[in-house]
Amino acid sequence: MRVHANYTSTRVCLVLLIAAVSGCGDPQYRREITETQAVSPHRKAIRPGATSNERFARVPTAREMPRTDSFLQWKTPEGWAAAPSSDLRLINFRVGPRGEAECYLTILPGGRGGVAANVNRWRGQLGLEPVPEGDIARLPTLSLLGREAVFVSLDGTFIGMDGTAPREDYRLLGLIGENQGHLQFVKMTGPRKLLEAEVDKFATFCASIAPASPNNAGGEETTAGPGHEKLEWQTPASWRPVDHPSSMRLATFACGADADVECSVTVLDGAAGGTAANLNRWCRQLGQPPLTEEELAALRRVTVLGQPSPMLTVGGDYQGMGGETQSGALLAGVVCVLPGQVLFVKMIGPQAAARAQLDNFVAFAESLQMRHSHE
Amino acid sequence: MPEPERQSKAFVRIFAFLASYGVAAVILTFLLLLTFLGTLEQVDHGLFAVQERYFNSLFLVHSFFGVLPVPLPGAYLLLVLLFINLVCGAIIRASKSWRRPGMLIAHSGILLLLLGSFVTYRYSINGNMRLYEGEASSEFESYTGWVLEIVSANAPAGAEALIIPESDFAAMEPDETRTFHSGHLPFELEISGYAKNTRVDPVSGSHSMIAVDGFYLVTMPRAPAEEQNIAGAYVAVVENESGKRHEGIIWAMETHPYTVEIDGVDWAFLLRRPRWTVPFTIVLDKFTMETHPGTSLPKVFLSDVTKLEGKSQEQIKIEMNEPLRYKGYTFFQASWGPSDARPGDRLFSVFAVVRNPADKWPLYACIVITGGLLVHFCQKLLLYLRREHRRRPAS
Repeated sequence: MRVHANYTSTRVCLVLLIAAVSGCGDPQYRREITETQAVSPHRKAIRPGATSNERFARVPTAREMPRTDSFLQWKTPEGWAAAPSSDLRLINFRVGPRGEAECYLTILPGGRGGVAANVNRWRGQLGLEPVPEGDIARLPTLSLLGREAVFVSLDGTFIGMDGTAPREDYRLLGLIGENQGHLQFVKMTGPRKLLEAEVDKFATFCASIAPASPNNAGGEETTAGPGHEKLEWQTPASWRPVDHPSSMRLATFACGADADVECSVTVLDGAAGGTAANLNRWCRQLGQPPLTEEELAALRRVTVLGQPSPMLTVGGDYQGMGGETQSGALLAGVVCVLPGQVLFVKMIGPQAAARAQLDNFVAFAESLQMRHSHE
Repeated sequence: MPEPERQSKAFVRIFAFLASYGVAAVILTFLLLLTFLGTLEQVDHGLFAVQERYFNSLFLVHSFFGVLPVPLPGAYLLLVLLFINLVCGAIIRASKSWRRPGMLIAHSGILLLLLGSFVTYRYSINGNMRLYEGEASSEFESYTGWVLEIVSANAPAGAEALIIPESDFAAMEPDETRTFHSGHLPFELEISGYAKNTRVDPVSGSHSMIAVDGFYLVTMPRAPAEEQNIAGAYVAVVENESGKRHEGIIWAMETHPYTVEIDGVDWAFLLRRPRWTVPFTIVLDKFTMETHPGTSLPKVFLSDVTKLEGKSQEQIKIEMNEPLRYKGYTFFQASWGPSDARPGDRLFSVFAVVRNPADKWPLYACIVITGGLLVHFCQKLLLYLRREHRRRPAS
């Protein structure tokens, strides 16, 4: 009898279990609301009939926003593919053979925490510790939309805001600054090796962003910067041309017997931030303070393409935009402002070796000539 | 063998098993393993999710190396078993002789610790209270979880709102709809498509999602930090009399709640954090925050508050490691904001608020365990000294 009773209770349990389990997925789930709570005295007033746009605090979509090219113009670097823009990505690119890197321009109203906080936010995305504001102030700068902007190059394991898996061996290139109460930045993220090769294009792109001119509908420039002219020069005897992956450079030379000094010629479209900003950028790359107005005015002038152009010679520990470093370096550079373009001649190398090449450098810069292609 | 005797033997065998050192060793080994695995998992899945999965569960399946699924007992189950094991082995079976009271006391302390953790798990609440200088509040809200509040839009403070707890709709299947009703409401509410982490996107082009008024809910991967998840759901309000149907989206980050007008009354549907009331009011008089020179790292942050209760008021300073404890509630200085504040900006102070009936139990348990061990070791020492004294030949 007892055994029989046990079987009965087991059956009852089973029936109850099946009923409970089947109840879990009941498509006709109905329940009475029994719980109550007093309305909070701190509750915000409810606005009946708020529209969905108001309820979800929606900012205009990319489709509804004025097209970026109606107020900005820029030059798309070779090999970069345009991606859809949005309210946060006014200009947006995919970079790399499989589009594994991205680069975009963002302009946000308000300070948004300021440059230092955002640089440290970026550092956090790469798994790096925050750094004091003083350190950030000493970072190299470039020009972005006519304003000085801090340039950062960070390596680490990237964790973006989209919740995707951490990506190892990544690099973040960023140019960030404030402009009339707005925070503006260009941010590029991707595999470190890919971005090493793209850093010059990044700088070119940043330098090319400008307000759309009245005579220009804005947007991507369709003509190549240098137009139909061709640049020619006299190469010093001890220099030899070398290949360089950067598309920005018109020429790169290894100088001197040990070939440990490098000289390059670069042309950027637009004002590229102006003469002073670029000279000061070089100063910062060598860990030196920016030039005062008096120092700027006192710089030696070299005639390049018919323009008296300031030449900077500065020593220190070099840190390039690509993260490369060189202790005890000497940099010589000339900035030549041309109509619609800026030409840079830059030489960098160990102090003694570079100093020995200074005369060659000046001769080289002064030998530059522009010839029309039909000549 | 007679039936009662057989039953008695089976009971003895089960009791012996439950009280055995072997079971204790296995449980402790599993707890060690869970702590190790849970700590590793926190890196990818965050504290909250790991706590739920590894420590607040009866069973779980851990994937070793991401490919080898192994079922494991959860820490909740293990701690219950450990409690039973200790009760059986260290309290019931242990000798109650006055010669060994220390171990009995120490084990009672461990039981108190386990009991405390159970009470904390089941009955404690914790949340946060955010106040700007000059603001007062007697409410705090949870860091996690949601409730759906249904209230008339012009209901005054203190009026009764209906609450649907998250547990009533959190476990819904994607294609499931749940209906809620009340005699106080002229409608029924259907909830569907609930997701823990969502965003609301405007409809653009053709897509297969359910869209309401040009928007649809996008289900996002669950964020590792639970408080970062933003819940959302579709709702349909079906009028009792006419059967008219109003569809909408409720989203935890919306600027204004979804409202429906029925018979001249605007009903609002708010997806918000669970909220509790404390029996007194806290006023933030002054918030002080100093950073280390040249950095944004806080050196000091403290809140001068006034505690109001009836006609009495008390000035109190709440700072790091100096919480306010009152009537079972503890107010810790947790953080401040806004994070992007600049010098001169108005700041707010955030207090972590905890009500835990077993708040002090771990301390009491430790005192009991310490006392028990002291008694035990002193007894052992005295026994040893006495034995040595006896052994020593009389001089």
